[in-house]
Formats: sequence, structure tokens, C-alpha cells
Amino acid sequence: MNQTVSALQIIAIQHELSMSIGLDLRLEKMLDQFMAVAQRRLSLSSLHVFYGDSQIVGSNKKNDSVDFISQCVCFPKHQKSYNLQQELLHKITKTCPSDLYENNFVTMQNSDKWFYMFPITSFGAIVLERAHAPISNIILQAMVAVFERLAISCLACLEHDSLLKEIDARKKAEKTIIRQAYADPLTDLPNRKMLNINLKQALESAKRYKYFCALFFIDLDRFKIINDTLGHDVGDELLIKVATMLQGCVRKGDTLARVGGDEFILLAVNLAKNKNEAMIDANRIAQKLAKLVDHPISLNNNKIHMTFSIGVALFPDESLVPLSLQQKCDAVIKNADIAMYRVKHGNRNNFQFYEKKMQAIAVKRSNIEKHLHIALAQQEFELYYQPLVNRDGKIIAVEALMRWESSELGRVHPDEFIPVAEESGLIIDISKWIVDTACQFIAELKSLPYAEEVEYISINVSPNQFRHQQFVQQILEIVKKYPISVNNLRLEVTEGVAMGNIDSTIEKMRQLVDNGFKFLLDDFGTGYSSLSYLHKLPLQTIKIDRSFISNIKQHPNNQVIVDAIIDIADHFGLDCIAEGVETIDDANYLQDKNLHAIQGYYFYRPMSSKSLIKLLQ
Amino acid sequence: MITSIHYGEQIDRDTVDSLIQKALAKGAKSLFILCCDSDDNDLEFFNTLLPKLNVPVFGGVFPEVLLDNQVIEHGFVVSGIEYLVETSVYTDLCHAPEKEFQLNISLENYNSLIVFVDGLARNIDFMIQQLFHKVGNEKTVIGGGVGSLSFKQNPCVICNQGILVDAMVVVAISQRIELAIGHGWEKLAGPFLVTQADDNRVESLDFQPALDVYQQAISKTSESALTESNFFEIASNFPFGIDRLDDDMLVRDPVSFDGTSLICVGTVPENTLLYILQGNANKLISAAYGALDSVKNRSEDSRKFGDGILFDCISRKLFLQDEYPKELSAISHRIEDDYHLIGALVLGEIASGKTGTINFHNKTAITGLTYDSASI
Repeated sequence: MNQTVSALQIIAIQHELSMSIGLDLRLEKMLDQFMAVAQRRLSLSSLHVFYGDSQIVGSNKKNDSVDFISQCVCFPKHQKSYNLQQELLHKITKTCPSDLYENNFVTMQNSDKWFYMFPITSFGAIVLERAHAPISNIILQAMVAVFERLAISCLACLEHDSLLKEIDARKKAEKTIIRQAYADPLTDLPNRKMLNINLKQALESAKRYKYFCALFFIDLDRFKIINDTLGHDVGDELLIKVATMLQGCVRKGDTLARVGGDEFILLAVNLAKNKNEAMIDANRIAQKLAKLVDHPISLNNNKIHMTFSIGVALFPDESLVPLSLQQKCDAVIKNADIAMYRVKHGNRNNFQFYEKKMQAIAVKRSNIEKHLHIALAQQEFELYYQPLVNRDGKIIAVEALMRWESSELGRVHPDEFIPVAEESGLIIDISKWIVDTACQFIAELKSLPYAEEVEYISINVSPNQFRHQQFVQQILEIVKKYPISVNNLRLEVTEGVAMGNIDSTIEKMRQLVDNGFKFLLDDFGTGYSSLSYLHKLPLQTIKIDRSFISNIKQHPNNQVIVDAIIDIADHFGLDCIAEGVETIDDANYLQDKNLHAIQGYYFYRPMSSKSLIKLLQ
Repeated sequence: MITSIHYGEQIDRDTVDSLIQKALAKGAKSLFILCCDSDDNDLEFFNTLLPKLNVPVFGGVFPEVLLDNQVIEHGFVVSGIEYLVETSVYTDLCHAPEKEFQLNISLENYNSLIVFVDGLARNIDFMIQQLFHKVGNEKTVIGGGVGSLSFKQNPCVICNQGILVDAMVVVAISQRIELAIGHGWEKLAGPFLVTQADDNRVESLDFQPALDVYQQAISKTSESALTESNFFEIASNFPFGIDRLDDDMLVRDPVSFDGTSLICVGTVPENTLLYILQGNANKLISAAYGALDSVKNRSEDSRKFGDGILFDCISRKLFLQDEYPKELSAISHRIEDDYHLIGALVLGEIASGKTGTINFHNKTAITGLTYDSASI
């Protein structure tokens, strides 16, 4: 090759290699493009670029030191290169820096392979491998300027890389902060804050585009029982599972949020322009949601049958017009919540659309709850006692019943305030008060000679109270405070207490039975009336529900049921009590039956302790 | 390498199936199928026949097939391979740069690779570059572009999936192969700096329109002016040679022109030095067998070589015309007795060079000498 051609070739190679530098800001990609060209133009077998960590490269390192090298990019990316890389790196780090700089590069020959090692200032080193024939010195010297330029580009890439990493870290941190602020940590669903933002948008958009939207307030029925009996871990897992199932129903643009322990809200936007059509759509969605829990959910070897109570509020709603946007948001959620509570107070496992009349009911409930909180402190509760008589009409026991004379609300019926107390958790304190008051009264009766006939006072134990971890201990502690026998206090439970975990129910009952307590199963015949409960639960007595007794003479079917219950009780060795006896006919029908006691208005209405004492006198 | 060779004149399902069965009966563990391109061929049956085979199969449709010293223009050849090969198939090459290149072969078990690529597909150089990335410089690679000289892109890559278009098959074999690469073209004019090019399109040389530079350079030996109709015929005598630092020149065939740009078979990178080459039959032929002699001379014991694989450029045959049998005969005579030479005329040749790089050649004869099984 003559000199002109050789010069032309060198210039062409230099030019092409220079042009292939810095084509990308990502280091590996940039080097990849450069190396592909270098490999082809210099007829190389391979190229290796060694460099250090981006934090170190180009910093305060001395130019003649290469001991910071930790990374290598090679071309081709064949896996066998690893050993070669180690060998080359070893050679580079062991080579005397002054040798490198005098000749610009160091040559290493290994049979028919030549390795040319070029240090790259403040960056690392590049190694060219050529098989079969060495590269001429003139070409190699011409590469020095190219590699210096490459180093500048590499450093820029590394700087860019560390900037990208910083930006990435910042983005991640921002994302985490946003997540923490707007997502529920357990289910990763939007939280109430996020829902509020989306709901505001939906309200404005619904108004502008005249579309109806729906907000579904979804509450898991009896979730507390699961949490209390199976533990919070299972409860949490159930919530995650339910969240996943609900997400399956969410359309693009809708929002599913977790807004409370077991409360979810689904915001379905842009349903229809016509309210009736929107209701049909919302109805379909609610049915779809309810269907999700058709089958039991498997969790940690437990099969949990779960149901939803769903309240639905449609918007825009004329009644919301005068409100501010935030007030509208609150009102829509509140309306759906009210509708959900209507379902809860019914048979649960259903859905209901919000109606205006629900508002008055909800206000009343909320009033009750508000005043319940102060009722105990202000001694507004009183226990009334309804006598139970034997076949001869003699009083043999009494049932303690709650009465509440609110200073603000007047007399509130137990049917109204007991469910509120149950939901609010106040039932625990109220129940303690009941046990305490009943025990105190038993002690009082025991001191009266004419009250000897009263064998016991029964009190009603709510399912929530029964499930309370300290229930057994509390009862025992209260009874111990008074000079009474545990025989004088009987505990009435419903089948509801056995729901959830029958084994734990039996265990608690057993502990109390072992301490001398006796249990009555109240309202028998209306619940599950499972014979297996009768068999498994350590009961003393069953009370036939009043619905079978009232006007029994006119209802032959009820007669059959009552007779059968009496026989079953007899078979199981249980005492049987009939409650709700209101007429002489009811009493006459039961006169000859194998009953331990009879209770009802026909004999005695519930009365205050004073009235009872007077009666007994 | 080869257990048996079977020739069929009619390319139809029954004939192919029967010859496959014959090859299998002779102990073949893998199958190499070479079909001649013909307008009459309906090769659809490969798509139902080949997937049913329990042995690896590879091959292609070629302009012509080579067997020992014969050029086969019609029919097909089924060759049984004495060991199991592993294949990796790539389809939809036109979108290859958008996909990640995966080589589903355990490379450590193999010494050589045979590659067949649809010669009319795009991104051939890209695929070869990707293959080099995965394979590195320590495996011998031989192969070529398959397809039709009519330049219609039809299904032509044969593998266990059937017969594929716009595809590539990489076949890994345990046998070591020595490559003999020869073309015999010599410099006529140049060097010219490729000042503007886009893939296989050379737009300017030395900052002048490429066609003008080319026409002027060949005008010394070719009197006719280049026209659309005579370009292919005249240009086949004057290919380009891309200058490389170590190896021999990489030949590129200009096949047509578009405006003042020249269209080549294979990529011509910008900033490379390009020569315009010329040749004559004797030099071409002697380069082909000369490369073979060099390989054999380098070896201490020529007996250890076995069967030969030849991928010769179709345009070499078009250039050599009646002289081509001499080239084939010269090569086949250098194969030891008891062994075969099998191969094809291809649309571009693929071979790893002395430095390990995998190159796409034109107008070059590439012979692979397998080592005798006993001497592996």
C-alpha cells in the first residue's frame, strides 16, 4: 500500500471511529456502537473497555493510576470473555504506568493473538485483540487521539448516568411519598384522600357532561368476628384478597378505594345520561360485586364465607346543588354509607340505593349513638326484671332487661339502642354494667327472706360481649365482688355467639360452666336452631322464641314446633322455658307441657327492682 | 459427517418423505436438505412434513445444488448427518432490530456453526453481527444466502418448523471445520473513499456520484456504457472490494443502480476504502482451490480431513459460465477419496474470517473442510 493510500486509510478509520463516538448518552450503548465500528474497521477479534465506578472515575484519581477499574464492556459479548477480562485487567493493573505513557499502549502477544492495551485518561483502559496478524504501529498510534476523545465522551456518559440515577432516585422518593399519602398501605388501593380527589373530579365532570355516576359503599359483613376469632393476620389477608377481587370489577376510569378497616368505596363514573339507565347500570354493578363472594374464600386452611353490605348513591343529585364541592363529596359518601347501614340493619348481604327518607333514620341513629356515650356516666340505664313462673304461677326466676331513660331523647327502646351499642362497641361497657347491677340485685334479694323463691336472675349476653377476650375473667371478677352464688346468675346467649368459631365458643362456655355458671339458649327456633349446637354447647336451658308462643292456640303449626322443641329439650336433658306468653289461651296451652318455666306479659311485665321487691313481699 | 446422500428429481411430498426415510434408515441422526429453486416448485408440503420429524433438519432452497463435481439444477438432495445437531431459528428478519437476539444453543458443546439466511431478507448484516456477539470469535461459521435468483422472496429456509421466508437458521455441529475462502478478484481501480452510503446503497465515492465514478473506472476495460438492461451483466465483471486491515478484500456485488447510486448485495459502510475489481476465469478458479491447498498445506496430515461443504456464489458461476465446472471439479478433487463434497450456489456467502469476525461475502468460494470423525 503506498503512503497516500495508507494515509487516506488512516484518516478514514480515524474519521469513522470519531464519528461513532458519543452517539448515545448511555455508556454501554455508546461503547457498543463505537466498538462495533472499531471491531470492523480494525479487523479486531474483540475489544474490551475497562472503567471504574461512576463515583470514582474522573474525580480526584491520579491520571496514572488504573487501580479503580471495576467494570468491563466487551465486544463481542461472548460469555467466555470473563476469564480473558480478568487476565487483561490483571495485566493492566500490573503494568508500570510510565511504560504505558511512553508508548501510549502496551502490547501483549499470546501465540497468534495480539492484545493492545491503551490507558484512557481518568477513565480506564481499552484493549484491542487482533488474531492472525498484528496491527501496524502507525494505525495504533493514530488511535490514541481517538481514544482520548472516547474518554471525554465516556466521562460525559458516566456523569449523565449518575444524573439519571439521581433523577430516578428522586422520582422513586416522590412516588413513595405520593403512595404513602394517597394509597392504602395494606391493599395498595387509593385511600380516602385519593378517593376525595377523584370524587371531586367526577362530581365536576358529571355536572359538565351531564352523566350520572354511582358511589358504592361496600362493607364486609361480620369482618370483626373474623378478626377477633382468626386473628388480624388472617383479617388482613382477607382484606387484600377482597381488594383484589373487587379490582376485577373496576373499569378504566373508576376508582376503588379502601376507606376504613373493612370498608371499600367503588366510584363508577360516566354510567349513563339518563337516571333510570344509570340506576340499571349501578344495579348490575352491585349484583356483580355481591356475586364476587358467592363462594367461600380460602385463607390459611380456613374457608371463609364472606358477604357484602353495599350502599349506593347516585349523583348528580338535586339536593346537593347548594353545597360546595367538598360538601358534595362528603354528602355523596355519607348517603352511600347511610344506604349501606340500612342493609346492615336488615339481613346484610345485600345492596340498597340511597333514598331521602333514610336520612331521618340515620340522624336518629346518630343521635342515639351520641347520647349512648354519656348514658352510662349519667346513670340513665336501669335494669328491669321480668319474672318467670312455674306451672303453679309461682315466681322462680327473673330475666334482667335493659331500660334507658335518656335525658335528651326520652325513653329509648332496647331494639333501637342495643344494635347501636353493638356497632359502636359501647355494648362491652354496658354489658359489664348489666352484670354488675344484676349481681348487686341478686345480693340484695338474697338478703330478703321473702325472695328465697327467686332461684336466679338471667342476663342477656351480647355476641360482641361474649367474643370479648376478657369476657370470662370479667364475669368471674364481678361475681366475686358480691356475696352471691354463681348459681344465682344465669347467662342467656343466642345462637349468634356460636357463629364464627364454635370451638372457641364452647371453650369459653366450658370455663364458666366449670365455675358453676349455667347457660340459657335464647330465642330458640328462630336462628339456625342447629341440633348440633344443642349437642355441643354446654347448655342448661333453652328458651322457645316468643314468635312461636304468641297466640299459639290459633297456630297449629306453632303448636307442632313448640311440642317438638319441648321433646327435643327433654331428649337432650335440657330445661325448657316458654317466653312471650301474653294471653290466658297461651298460658292454658302450655299448662300441661313439660316446661321448666313460663314468662310473659300474661303473668308479669318487666318491672323495676323496687317493684319486684314489692311484688315478692 | 455424511452417512448417506440421496438425490430426488421430483420435489414432492412422497419423494422427499421416502428419501428422508432412506437417510434415516442409513443411520442419520440429523438431516441436511438442499432443494433447487424452480418456478414449478410447490414446497408447502414441507410445513406439514418436517414438523413431524423426530430428528433435527436444516437446509434451504438454492439457485443450484452442488454435489461432488456435479451442478444440480433440478430436484433435491437429502444428506444424512451422522450426529445430532442443534438449531436456532429466527423469523421476521425485517423486524429483527426491534427484537432481542437469542441463541437457543448450548454453544460449549459445539465447534462450528452452519448458517442459512433468506438471501433476499433485510437485516442480514445485523443478524450476522448479533450472531458474532453471541458466538464470539472462537467458532467456525460457514453458510450462505438461500432463495431464488429470480429475486422473488419465497419460503426458502428449511428447518423443523417447515419452510420459512424472511428467516435464518443457525445449525450447531460438533465437528471442527477449517475454512478455505478464495475469490481471485484483483484491483482494477481505487481506492475510493465511500463518502455516502446507506446499508447496501453506495451513493457517492470520493464525493462524486457513485455511478459516475464506477462507469469512469470500468470504461478503461469495458467499452459499453452502463444502462439498466446491461448493468447486471457488465457489473458482474467488476465487483467492489472493501479494503480491510488484515484480511483479504471483502467482495461486494453491485447488482443495479438507482439514479446515481449503486445497489450492492450486502452492506457497504461509509468511510471505508473501496476498490473496483476485475477478474478472469483462471485467477478465480485458482483462488478457489488455492485457498483449499493452503488449508491442507497448513495441516500436517491431510488424511484427517473428511467431507467438504462448499458455498460458492451464484454470481461466480454467472461470471465463469462454461468454466465453472472446472472450479467445482478442482475443489471436489481436493476432497479425499471416500468423502463427499456437498453444497450449493448461494446468494452471498457467510464465513468467519481469520480474526474470528463473521462476514458476508459476494463472488467468493467458501469451502469448509470437516475433520474426519475419527480425528476429532
